[in-house]
Amino acid sequence: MIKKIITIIYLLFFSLLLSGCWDYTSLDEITIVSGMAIDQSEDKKGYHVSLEIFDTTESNKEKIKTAIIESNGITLFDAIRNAKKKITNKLYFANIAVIIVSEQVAKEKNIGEIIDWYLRDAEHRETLSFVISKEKTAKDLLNTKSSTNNAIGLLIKEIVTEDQTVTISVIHNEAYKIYNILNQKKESLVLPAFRVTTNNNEKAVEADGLAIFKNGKLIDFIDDDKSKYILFANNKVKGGILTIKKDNNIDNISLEITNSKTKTSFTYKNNQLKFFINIKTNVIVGEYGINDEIPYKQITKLEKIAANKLNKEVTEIIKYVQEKYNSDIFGFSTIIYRKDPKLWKKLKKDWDKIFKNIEVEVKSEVKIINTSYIK
Amino acid sequence: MPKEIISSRQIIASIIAFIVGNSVILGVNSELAQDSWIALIIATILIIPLILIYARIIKLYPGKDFCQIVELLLGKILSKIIIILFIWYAMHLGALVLKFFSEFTKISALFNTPEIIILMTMTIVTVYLSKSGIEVLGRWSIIVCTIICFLLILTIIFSIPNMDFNNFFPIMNHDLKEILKSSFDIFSFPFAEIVLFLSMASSYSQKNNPYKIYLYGCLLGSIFLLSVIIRNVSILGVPLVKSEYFPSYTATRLINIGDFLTRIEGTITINFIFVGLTKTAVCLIAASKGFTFLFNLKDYKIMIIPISLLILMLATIMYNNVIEMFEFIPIYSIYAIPFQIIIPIIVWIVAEIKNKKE
Repeated sequence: MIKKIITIIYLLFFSLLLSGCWDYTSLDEITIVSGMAIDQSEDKKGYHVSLEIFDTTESNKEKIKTAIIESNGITLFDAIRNAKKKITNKLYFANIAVIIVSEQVAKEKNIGEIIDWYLRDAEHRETLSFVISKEKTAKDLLNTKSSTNNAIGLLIKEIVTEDQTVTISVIHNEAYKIYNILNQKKESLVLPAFRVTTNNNEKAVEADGLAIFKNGKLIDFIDDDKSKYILFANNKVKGGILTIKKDNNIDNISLEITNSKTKTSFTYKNNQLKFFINIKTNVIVGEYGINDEIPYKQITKLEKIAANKLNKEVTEIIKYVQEKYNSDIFGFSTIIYRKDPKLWKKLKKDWDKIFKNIEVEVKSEVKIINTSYIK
Repeated sequence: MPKEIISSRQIIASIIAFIVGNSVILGVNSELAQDSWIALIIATILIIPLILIYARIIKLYPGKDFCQIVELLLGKILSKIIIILFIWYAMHLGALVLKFFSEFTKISALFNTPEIIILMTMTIVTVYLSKSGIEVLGRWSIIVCTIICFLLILTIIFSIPNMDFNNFFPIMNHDLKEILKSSFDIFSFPFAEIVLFLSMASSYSQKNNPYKIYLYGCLLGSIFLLSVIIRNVSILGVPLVKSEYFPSYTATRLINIGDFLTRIEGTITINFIFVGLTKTAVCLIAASKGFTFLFNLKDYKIMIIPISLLILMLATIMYNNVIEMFEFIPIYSIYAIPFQIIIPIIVWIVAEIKNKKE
């Protein structure tokens, strides 16, 4: 009997203690952040952040509503905490999809600082995407409207992650990969650039080429049409369209890429580095331009034209980056380090000078595997 | 007191859980990053002679605990000193594991909860486990082993899309000296910690071959650690593995299968709770067995609660901050030499000499 009573007392005691959770936060006590834009504050000393949050003030079954909160702070974390001064709930960052950095911040501050803050916090996920705004402020991107997705943060994330298989114009790097690139030898970072356009008389975001970094700082943007070939050089292509011309002066044939592989190797002879880039691409003829059957002989010709175009464009873009930016966005330094660490030790000191003078030979092979439904 | 007997499979399972221990979230000596698998293999080779010595001690005196053997061999005073040292090591190790657990929980999930609460909940369960006895611990270890292996395989399969094996190049980029130092760290933390299993030797059934038990336990544990290294480095890449405190945890955070199967890092925490419980329970039993011989008590179970409280207190005062905790790991490998290597070797040599005389 006494045992029973003691057991019951114990049970009551534990039910009091164990029913609660110290770190309990219910859904109505948090404000979920979907995107964030980082700008410089007006006095140029700190940050001005704009946070896109899910607006849960009224339940709406059809559409998700979002709102924007702005705040200032000396450091990033400070700025985010300052946002609490304006809202009721604590901001919750585990669902954030994208951070937009303004051109000004990216040029003046090392992007590594933002990454460091981001990866340090336990709430954040390492799979977040970073993009650079081409507009005056990063907040402009959040202020746009989209016809498909109401949260701009989630929209940008979708655009960026699916780009490599559909449109091949940007290189998508997640936060943890950015950390690795920034800390890996002399490799330079590239991030997607975004701008605001008008779509059906409303402001809309659009992916627009790449932002080129050097030593963690933004130096310039590369346009849409050229950035495609950077993806080819970096082995990032998984799909997308390659346009070529046959006889006319305008591109009128579209080849849809089914898969593509780029292998990079190098030789070092007589103090001269030479890189070989071998691109192997399989394509489908998706648009032939002329309303006619494609003759069998034409296939090999088309393959040759496409390969030549790839060769020319990739060589050109590499030369362009070497001369204009001198920034190793193709990861040549990492390739040397991985294959020949002793050679890398020798080259490390004057890598900036060496990178400029690397000879690059591009060899591409395009294979047409079918012509879709029509002969 | 009836004698507790556990089968060799159960001992192997608990040895695996013991070795895997903190590495579930800490990763395995991440300083060397892409070369840490080499260090692990060297450490596995280095540990074999030592575990053969451990097994030989058990073989020479079957059915006796380590402390009993020490008492038999070394006389009253010397044996007491050695037993005290052994108890200290067991308690300290238990406190270390508890502290890792609480710090990890504090950083990753329970930000506002006081540390002592986290430690207490863990300790209560550990006390329950070790009070239930060695037989229960054995059966529990089998379950734990199955779960952690299953979860490891699961996380590896799910991480395949994230893996990049180029991260392992260049191989052998570190000096031999660095690699040997790192392999010595792995050797003492976690491999040589299985010296504590000597204190359970009386529960090994007579039919079992101790050599086989220890070898199997160590090799399987080593394979487990190897797959942890391969998973972490191939997913995270060298710079991040080097700077992360809990690389295994981060590596599983990145898993994303079709936007549907995400955020399964909780599995890693489950792993750590299970394995941490087993490890602390073993430490607790080893320490209380030591106390029973020190004070000539009959049952080791009465000492478990007081010792658990001591371990709890030790865990709270051990470090000022997490940085200290991680700075201690390289020092630990030197600090543990007397407990892991010198004492067993002395016992072994004396045992061999006495055995020859008889």
